[in-house]
Amino acid sequence: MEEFKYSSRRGFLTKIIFAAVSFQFLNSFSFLKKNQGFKSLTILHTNDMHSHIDSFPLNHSKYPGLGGIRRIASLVRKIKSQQKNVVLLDAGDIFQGTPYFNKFKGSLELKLMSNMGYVASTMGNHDFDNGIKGFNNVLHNANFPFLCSNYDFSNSELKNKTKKYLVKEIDGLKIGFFGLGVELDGLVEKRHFGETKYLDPIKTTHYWSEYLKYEERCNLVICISHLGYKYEDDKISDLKLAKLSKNVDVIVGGHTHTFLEKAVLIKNQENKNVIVNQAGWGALSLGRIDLKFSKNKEILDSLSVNEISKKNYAII
Amino acid sequence: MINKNYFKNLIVTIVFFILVLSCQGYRMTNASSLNINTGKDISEFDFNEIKLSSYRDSISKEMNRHLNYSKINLDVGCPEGLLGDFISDLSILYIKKNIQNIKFEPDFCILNNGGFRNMISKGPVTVNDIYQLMPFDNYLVILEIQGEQLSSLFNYIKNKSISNINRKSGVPLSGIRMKISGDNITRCMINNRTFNPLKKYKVLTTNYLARGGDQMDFFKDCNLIFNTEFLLRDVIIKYIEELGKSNIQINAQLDGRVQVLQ
Repeated sequence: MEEFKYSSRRGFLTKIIFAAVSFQFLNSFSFLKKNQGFKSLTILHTNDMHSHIDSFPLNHSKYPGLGGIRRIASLVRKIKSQQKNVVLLDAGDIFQGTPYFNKFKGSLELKLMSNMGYVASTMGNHDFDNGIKGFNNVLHNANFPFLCSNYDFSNSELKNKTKKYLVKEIDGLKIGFFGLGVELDGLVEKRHFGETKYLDPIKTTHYWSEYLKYEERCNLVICISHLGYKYEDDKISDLKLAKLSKNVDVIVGGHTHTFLEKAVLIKNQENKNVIVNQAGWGALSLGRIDLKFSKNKEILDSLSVNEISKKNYAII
Repeated sequence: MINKNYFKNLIVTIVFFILVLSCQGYRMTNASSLNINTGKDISEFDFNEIKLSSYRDSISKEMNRHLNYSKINLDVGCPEGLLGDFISDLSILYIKKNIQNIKFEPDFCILNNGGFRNMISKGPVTVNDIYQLMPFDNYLVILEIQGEQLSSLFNYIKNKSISNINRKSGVPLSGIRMKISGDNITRCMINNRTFNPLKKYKVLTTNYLARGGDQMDFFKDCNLIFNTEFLLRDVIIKYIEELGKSNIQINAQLDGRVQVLQ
């Protein structure tokens, strides 16, 4: 360490001058790159689809003839044809809600999602409805990983069947993903979750978001959460997690069946904005977030309504 | 000496330069969002590759089976709802009629609104509607509960009944009548008799709740004395189908079984 200490004032001054010169040089460099430095990414996400493959029945009091995974599939295809970089995510509770699940035990839902090109999902509490064994039995139908960062399955059949995180490179952007599940005790029968250990979602978030940002050097860190959007009491939620986080850029959530017109911005511990979104349930809504990336030092300070999204999606 | 210093500075500068450059990675600088509702204007993808239609055909025949008509909309409510009244009443009626051993006959029935995933809408009712209402494969079971343990069950009902927060508020009950005034339970009848803390009661519920689901912790220490081996969904389907065969349409009325006085 001693070697790097500056022994004279002159040496120090020389260093300052060099630093200043290098800054100048760098500035001119980034000026040249400014116009070519944009990249874009569209995040599409679903949650709590609850086996709603077809639309709701026509006599349904609230959503007659609406929703369904088949409509989500049409939308995803359309948007993928318009946008260069698209990631499709699901935030859990794929299972339970229509006879498709009772009869085919979730295998069909996973087949459809694989066909649609899902990048990752996380497990919701209802994905345990046929037990860990029932989930494991149909898991081979999914060609995408389940990210369960705060469930420890090491003493169960699901050992090594889910992932803690995922890194994906798209068009030169490195994107890190991790997944959070809700506390199972009280929500899911003990015999169904068995020896699954629930890990603290806040600590888990700090650990994996820091890993993804600094070890994997991801340009974007996305948390797929089944914690729930917000609660009246102290229970951990996506909004609370966003506030307490440091290195998470986007949280796509589920569990509370919350419909939002668009994503919201929440200030994190370092006063930076985190994007939080949820897309209702029953495949009634597709969450859409469009991001732009650049090498400029602008910070994300607002979130606008996507004007393209306002256009009619009707597909003839 | 000067040369050495100069060289050192050069290296420091180059390192600095590289460091700053490497920090110039892509960052999120702009965001927009608008979630898209999947309305009727969006076509339904066929998934021919996966032969989705053959999966659908294999279940649609059973699902489209007509069971009965409903005269009204039945939905959850707090402190009392038409749907909770209807389902808990029919559960206890059906079980009383269909269990062989009278010694297991339940005194009351308790379910949870969180388990009702849909309402029964006015008009024709099919098997599919009941699957929408009760997708879970939950069995009806009978537990034995000590009179003194019932106080925590009553408190549970009270807490769930005094504020209508969401669709999970309120407790579907049959065989219990309760008056709540402020924070106190002022009257409690079980099976038309004043509750006796020294007596043992038999309660009909689902295996999910019997294991302490939906925070019904008081059931964790109770003995499960009889598993009816009837799925709650099947009981609902059979009951309303039998009503239909007798030309009785689905109907229900609130009867003040749980009352909250402010």
